[in-house]
Amino acid sequence: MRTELMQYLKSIRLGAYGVTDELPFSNSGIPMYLKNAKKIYVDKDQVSVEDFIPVLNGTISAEVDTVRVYLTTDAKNIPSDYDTVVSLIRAGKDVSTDPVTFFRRECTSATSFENDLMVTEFEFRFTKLI
Amino acid sequence: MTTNYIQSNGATAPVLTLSTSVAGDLVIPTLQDVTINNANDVYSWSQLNESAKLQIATTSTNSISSNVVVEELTFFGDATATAGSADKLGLIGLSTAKTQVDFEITLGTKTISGKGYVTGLAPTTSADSPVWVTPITITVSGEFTIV
Repeated sequence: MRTELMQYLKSIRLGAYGVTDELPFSNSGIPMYLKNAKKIYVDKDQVSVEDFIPVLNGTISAEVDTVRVYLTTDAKNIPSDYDTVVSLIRAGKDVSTDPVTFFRRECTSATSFENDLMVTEFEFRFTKLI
Repeated sequence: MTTNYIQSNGATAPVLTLSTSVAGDLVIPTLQDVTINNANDVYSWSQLNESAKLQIATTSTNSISSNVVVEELTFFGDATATAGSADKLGLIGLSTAKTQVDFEITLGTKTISGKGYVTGLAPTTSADSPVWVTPITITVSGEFTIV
């Protein structure tokens, strides 16, 4: 789902924020999303398989595809369109090339502070039966 | 105390197989639960020398009931299978055509079999369920055979 999310984020107006193709790696121990504020970083998919519906001869499993997105903003001077941008990014949970496949689409967002930078981390979770 | 539990998981999970007079068995893969019903009717009477009724078992009403997660080929049948087979008809076909089936259900190392009819189908889903689930009852005609 990283590809679909990237396509969605690049297709919407995010004001002064841009979307980078780079992964949120660290350089000299500092995550790139801290070095490049106002650049949206999309992490690689993290996939887990869980038992979902028990049946007598086994289980019906569900695959959870988790994608994290990072957005860094100057905490001293938050852009006026910050809340709008956050809402638009969060709406990415409904992006799917096949809406029938994923029966559960969720997004949670949380903020933290690194010195004078505010980091908004989004966690998208897409669940489907396998 | 010696125990010999009949386990219902893994290799000893119950397997329910339906067949008709045409070759091509239907194995139901997604059983959530299984109940084997062997309900004897009871005839009771009173005697002057007894303070309680006397009872005796008479003919029984037998059935097998289960809840299954609806799987397309199992429910609607395999179009490539032989015409008239349980595999071709699927559960809904066996029910609507009221076809008598031979059934087998494994219980540990034992097999309980007999003849009956597929009834009680009621596929259900809801907004918070990603799958359809249906009850199924096999109304048994006659007695169980236990091997």
